[in-house]
Amino acid sequence: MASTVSNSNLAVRLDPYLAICQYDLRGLWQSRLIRLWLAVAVVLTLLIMLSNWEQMPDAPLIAVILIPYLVFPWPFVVIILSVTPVSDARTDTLADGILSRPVTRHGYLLAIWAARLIAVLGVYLVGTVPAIAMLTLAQRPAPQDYVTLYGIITSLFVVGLVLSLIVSLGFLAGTLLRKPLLAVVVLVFVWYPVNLVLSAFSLEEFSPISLSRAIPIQLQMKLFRFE
Amino acid sequence: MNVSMNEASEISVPSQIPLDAGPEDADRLAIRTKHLTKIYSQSNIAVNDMNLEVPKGSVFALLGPNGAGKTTTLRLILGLQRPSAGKAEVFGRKCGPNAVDVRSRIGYLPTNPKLPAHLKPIEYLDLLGRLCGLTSQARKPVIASLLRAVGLLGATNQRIGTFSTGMCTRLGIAASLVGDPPLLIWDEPTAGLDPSARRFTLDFIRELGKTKTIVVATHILSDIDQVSDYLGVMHEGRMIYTGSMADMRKRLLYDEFRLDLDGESENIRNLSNKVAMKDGVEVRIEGDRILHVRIADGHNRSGVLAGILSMIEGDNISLAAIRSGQNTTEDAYLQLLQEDQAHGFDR
Repeated sequence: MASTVSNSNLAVRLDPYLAICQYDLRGLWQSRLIRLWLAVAVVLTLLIMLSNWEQMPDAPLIAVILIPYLVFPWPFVVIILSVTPVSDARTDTLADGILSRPVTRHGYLLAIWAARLIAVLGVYLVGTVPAIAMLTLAQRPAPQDYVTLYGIITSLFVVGLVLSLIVSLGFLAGTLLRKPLLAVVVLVFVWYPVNLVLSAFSLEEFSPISLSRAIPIQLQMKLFRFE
Repeated sequence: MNVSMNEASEISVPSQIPLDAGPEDADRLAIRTKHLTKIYSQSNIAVNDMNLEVPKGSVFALLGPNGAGKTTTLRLILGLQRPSAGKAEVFGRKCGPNAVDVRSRIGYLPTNPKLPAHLKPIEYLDLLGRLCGLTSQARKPVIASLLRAVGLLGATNQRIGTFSTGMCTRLGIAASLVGDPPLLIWDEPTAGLDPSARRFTLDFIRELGKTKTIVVATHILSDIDQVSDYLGVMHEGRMIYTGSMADMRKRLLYDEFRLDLDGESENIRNLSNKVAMKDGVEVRIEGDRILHVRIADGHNRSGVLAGILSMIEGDNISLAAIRSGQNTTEDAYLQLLQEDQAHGFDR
């Protein structure tokens, strides 16, 4: 009984933030940028898939589909998406309409960040999962290799993690710098030479380029040796 | 509309608001600021050492020219910005970015409210209802009654992006009333409105003022002259006057009347000469038809004025209009601003 009451209290307390998240998601879905990104991402994936349908084995082809989300151009789109809505003057005024209500600033920022993350991961998964499923399930005339379910899930997870990192960095830059253009420029200059930064700390295997090279191997990994 | 009676509306308020009120006054005050200061980028002083007290249950007009710091003051009270120094309290609780309990008791209407264009009015009010912690069952009747109260029931199928300025303000007013807060803070609610929308807003303030504390920021005194009980005048970030509206009017006891007359110029000049011969009366003609009459201290104004009016009647002149300097608080407001400007160096 006590647990039900505390759960319902928690739901009541979280409801305002859930409302903000839903409101922002709806606003994002209305934006041309995200619709265009989704459309272009799906078309690009289809083009990659169809043009390599007969030549490329599963693992390298899935890697080619995932690379745009790791290296270029989609990280750039994600940066713009995560930066603009928190630092734009007009949305500042809109945010005042929400922040003048009984919600905390931290809760508001967390809800908006969650909405951006959901939007980006949503486009990413819609743009890749159906294509990967089609590739692996279809009987293609391409040279045979193998990919594992574990490999596919972990590869998708790694790319999703990188996108989450970009969203978080973009959100942070947008919130702190308050100027969308400046935040985008700063992030582009931070994100694209990240290889150099990581190699300085001997962490180059975590750079987007290294990760994209590792994806075909990752796709063939097994959870257990006897699988 | 379900508007709860503010428990403090019965508390009597003094004619002049004291600035050094003690802690016991927290019960009778809706807003109190102490040495509130906001400096942007270490260079622009938006609010300068402001002490403000707004009694519960009053309609308080925050006046000042553009750039006086009114909006910044309201944003500091709401906790949308942090003060550089000093503090603001609402119903005895300190304001700040995370003061959820304070904001749950405030309904805010920004200037020319920017509302989410992609939503419909019901969706927007539903969102705000959720932010105020209202349950789904409680939200629906509240939204319907608010939309009816602001006259937007016919626009529920339209997206907010298609709304006119007046409709946006009406929706903003409804939005500020979601959750039935006891304190309303409205920033220039009549900005950009046509006369009928302006009249609607002022009537709404008058009606809500019976049960709630309302702070209205504006630079047009005539907008809230008739609806507010108290006012504070801001100039260049400072509060240069706080007091009751009646006290503000008393500042302009010039005992001067302006008579707009219709008739022959010759007759009006003769009238002017006759009036000037009365004891304790100064008179001057403006143009051909306007007579300015000033009655000296110690003379019965109504008696002198009755005498002048009977002279007008006897001289084949008709009286088109009569105006008193006391009627216009606008003059008192402008006078305050001029005085503050003139004393800038002393300050």
